Amino acid sequence: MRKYWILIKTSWLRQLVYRSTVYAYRLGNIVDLLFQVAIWTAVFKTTSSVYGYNYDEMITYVMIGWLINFLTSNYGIEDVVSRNIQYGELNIYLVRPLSYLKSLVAMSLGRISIALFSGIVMQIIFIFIFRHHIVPPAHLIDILLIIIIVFLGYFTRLLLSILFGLIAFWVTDVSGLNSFYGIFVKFLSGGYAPLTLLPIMIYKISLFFPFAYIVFFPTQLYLGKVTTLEGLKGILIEITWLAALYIVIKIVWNRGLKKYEGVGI
Amino acid sequence: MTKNTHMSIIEVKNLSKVYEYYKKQPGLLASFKGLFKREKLFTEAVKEIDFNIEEGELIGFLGPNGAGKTTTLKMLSGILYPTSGEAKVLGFTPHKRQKEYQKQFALVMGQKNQLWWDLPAMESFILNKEIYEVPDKEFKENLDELVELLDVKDILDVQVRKLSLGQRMKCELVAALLHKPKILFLDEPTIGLDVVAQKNIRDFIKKYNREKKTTIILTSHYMEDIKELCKRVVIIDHGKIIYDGALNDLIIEYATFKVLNITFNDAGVQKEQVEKFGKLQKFNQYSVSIEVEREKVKEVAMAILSSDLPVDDILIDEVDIDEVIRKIFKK
Repeated sequence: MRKYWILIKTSWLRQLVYRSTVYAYRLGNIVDLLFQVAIWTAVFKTTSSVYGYNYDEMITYVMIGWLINFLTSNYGIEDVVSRNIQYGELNIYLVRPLSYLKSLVAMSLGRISIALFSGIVMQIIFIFIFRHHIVPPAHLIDILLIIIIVFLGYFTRLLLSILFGLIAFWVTDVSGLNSFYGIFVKFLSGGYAPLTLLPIMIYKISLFFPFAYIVFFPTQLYLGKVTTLEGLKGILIEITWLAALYIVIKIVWNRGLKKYEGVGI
Repeated sequence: MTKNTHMSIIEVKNLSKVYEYYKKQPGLLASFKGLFKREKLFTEAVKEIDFNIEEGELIGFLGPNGAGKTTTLKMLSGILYPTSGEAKVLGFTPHKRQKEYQKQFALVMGQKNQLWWDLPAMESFILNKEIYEVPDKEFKENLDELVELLDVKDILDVQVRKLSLGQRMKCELVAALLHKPKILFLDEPTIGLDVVAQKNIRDFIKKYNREKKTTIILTSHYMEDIKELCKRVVIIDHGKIIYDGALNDLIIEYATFKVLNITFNDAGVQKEQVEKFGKLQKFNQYSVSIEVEREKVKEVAMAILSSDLPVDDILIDEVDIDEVIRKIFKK
């Protein structure tokens, strides 16, 4: 296990090299957040409620939702995986006594460090600025559930990204697909807006998929729009998805690897 | 149990590798059709090759691009699954990728790096120490020794991306050798390097093999690498081994003629005067190179010396090895 710990550390060191890049990303995030606030402020000029959200709840959704989306991000592990496969960088992992999939998890954990710090600081400032519009958590006990859901959400997203990256075993150029994937996940997880804004059928279907539990669900829990009991149910669904994703990744990885090695011709 | 008392470190029998791919038609419509019906094609990258390698050998795989050298190395290091035949390395079957096997070899590819691009090489070394579970003391000793041998002390703390290609290759070698592998696979280690850097890498490989008795397989399409380093050479072309033996014997086997280099003084010679002795490789008034069949070389040299030509000096030389190899590949 020690080797994976050092791998986390090395990825972390690598991230330190890119401090200025990380801060530049934060600048983009600020514009992104202010834009969302501006849109909702405009919408609420003519109405006092949108799909059951009042203005303060919506601002809280944007702020808390952004934070959770940020905490569960893995910065394009799908790109790393597809590049490793396409350019044969996978060879370096295959010849060493090291598991590729475990390495990916370790590297991803190492990558979040600096970003995590800067993102949290930025969001604390934002929440402070908008403090008069931020709704306090409905029940304090839910905070504990939210922390668990965010933790599980990180790994759900990570496994989804790895799975998506593995497509590169079969498709030669995946850059377009990867870009679509990023937007798709952010949308279906509620990263752009609450999923309740969707047509009711699509909304209900989305609750069967793992995405909704990444951002939308914990934010609902925060706002008290979902009960604690439902929150526990959500955790169970997420754990089930994690287990399912793990199994699917193992299968896809083994099949992909067989293709990579040229087995069975 | 085998009856052999002598065990080769690498045993390859009837090893073949066939790649499968799909025919791609140009154009949008054809690509669309390709989604439903694709024509499967096969290429035989390696065809039933056999060889054995003894411990401590430094052996060169020589061949043009696409000859099957890298494919062979990939099968020996467990990246590729052989289509048929068998490879045993240190008693292991490489494609099973057992940890016990992986800890005993290293693969360095000239065009791929294992070093972390954005970090100083030292960080990659520390990571490899953990990956290969090298004890602290041994790590320090090996590192000090390799750093000394390759003269990379001053660049260990420089970001890898800022190193020259030659410096990077040196660091790649350090990273690969920290766990003291019994076998080292080197795929085109000098590719793209300038002449000085090539020589440095070559000198190191030679010394390391001699001192550590590490078995080394080297692929290269630079003749100079092979000439300098390898007593034994395996020539691969179109997936087949066309020669396996001592480099010196290759010349005797394939070069059916030698070269007479003659210098003349006084007024020199005319072309017509020397043409009758053999095929002229090079001609000017005072200096001539003539290709002469191996068996006749003494005879011809005598004839020239006893003729009335103004001979100043005469040398009997082997054909240049590059020339021989080029001829083999042309066939």
